[in-house]
Amino acid sequence: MTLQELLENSNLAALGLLDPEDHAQFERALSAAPPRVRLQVISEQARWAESGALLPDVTAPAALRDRVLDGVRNAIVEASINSDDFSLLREQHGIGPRKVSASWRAASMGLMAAVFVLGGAFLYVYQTNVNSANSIGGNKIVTEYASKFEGEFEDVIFGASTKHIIFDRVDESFAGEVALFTNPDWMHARVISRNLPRVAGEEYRIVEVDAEDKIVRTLGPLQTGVQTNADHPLPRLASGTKLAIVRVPVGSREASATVLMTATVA
Amino acid sequence: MAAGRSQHDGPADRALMQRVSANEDEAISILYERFGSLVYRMAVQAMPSKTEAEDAVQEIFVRLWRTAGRYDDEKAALVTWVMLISRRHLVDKLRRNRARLRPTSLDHPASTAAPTAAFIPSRLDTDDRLTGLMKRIDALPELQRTVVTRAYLGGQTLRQIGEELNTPLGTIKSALSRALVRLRERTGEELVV
Repeated sequence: MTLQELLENSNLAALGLLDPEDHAQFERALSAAPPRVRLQVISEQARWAESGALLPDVTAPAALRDRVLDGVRNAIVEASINSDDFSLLREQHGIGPRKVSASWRAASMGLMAAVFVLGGAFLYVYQTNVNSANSIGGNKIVTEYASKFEGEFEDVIFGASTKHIIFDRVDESFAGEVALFTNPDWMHARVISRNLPRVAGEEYRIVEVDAEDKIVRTLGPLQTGVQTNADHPLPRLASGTKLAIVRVPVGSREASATVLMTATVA
Repeated sequence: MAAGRSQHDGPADRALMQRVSANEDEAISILYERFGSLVYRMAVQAMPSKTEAEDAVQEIFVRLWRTAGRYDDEKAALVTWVMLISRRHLVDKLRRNRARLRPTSLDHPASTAAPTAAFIPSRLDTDDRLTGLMKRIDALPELQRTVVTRAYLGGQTLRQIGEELNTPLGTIKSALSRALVRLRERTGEELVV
């Protein structure tokens, strides 16, 4: 990205209008820019963001403040329920020990016993899922995936709203494995792939195809080897969309290609 | 009217976000005091009702708390970061809630008026300032009008717009950038912000 492009993109980046891949490219270019230019761009972006010139002139209701702060506090407590430092959080938020009646104490003891039982069941299911993930993809792929998506890992693999779409091979002799993950809470689908055989002068792509397997649009590249598509997030995909993995000459813009794998978004 | 401090104070902002990340109640309150108004105005612009806008503000601040540890003042001022997180959240909601724009082409000028009208929420009838903004958008050159409507108000990605208009991504970016500068300048002429 040239300096001119960096400056031209600064207002789009400030307003969150760049696509994720372009925003990442912008951030890389900004990091590489001379300190004086970087500070100037950051300052200009802040002016754009805080001017609010394009926003409606409305005032937030006073009651919203308490509602928002309560919402964050609740989220903190919810997030901490399974964490080791729950007692620390209770202390931070002033939730101290309370005097309770004997009946409440008995009920809480019963609840705690149930939690232990359910917790054991959860750990069993969790471990089974991890074992399944390992058997499907191997430790290496899971570890890489975890490192790429960090805190999102469990959400991606185990989230209740996450759909796992496994591509089926059209030709069983093809060794590649590709899985797609979508979730209504994400802006983009995620894709993970491995064992795509290297072929000189050709590249893999994930594409949307019609009923006759004609390419409707290219959604993103697929690289050979173990790969997560964090750098090339796919757009949201409507239910019923038919997807395919194809291999085409590098840089090709052909509308048709040999389909190696297919999947349909549920 | 301005949401945050006009000066970028990187170390102080980084310290604030570290405190937010550490679940400090006071830091979260400060974050709301500084940016609650900006986030609310963004939410009101994007959401179809004030109730949904208020829901969105709460969700955005939860998201800001969750992502606070990732804030890097070397990459962006805090106000820019807040705007970015807010916009991403609102676009997510927008895309879930709204029907997608029908594809249109610059080859068919008659069809380009529809997207602008499709994105004018009903509340704009009662908000003079946004009505004025829509008038200024309508006064932009055709490509700028189409792109700013779809990207800024509609939440479409620039690549989607480029593909649907069969126009290079660079041209789309330039048109949007120029449109925003013109809109800000014209807003500044009429309203001291």
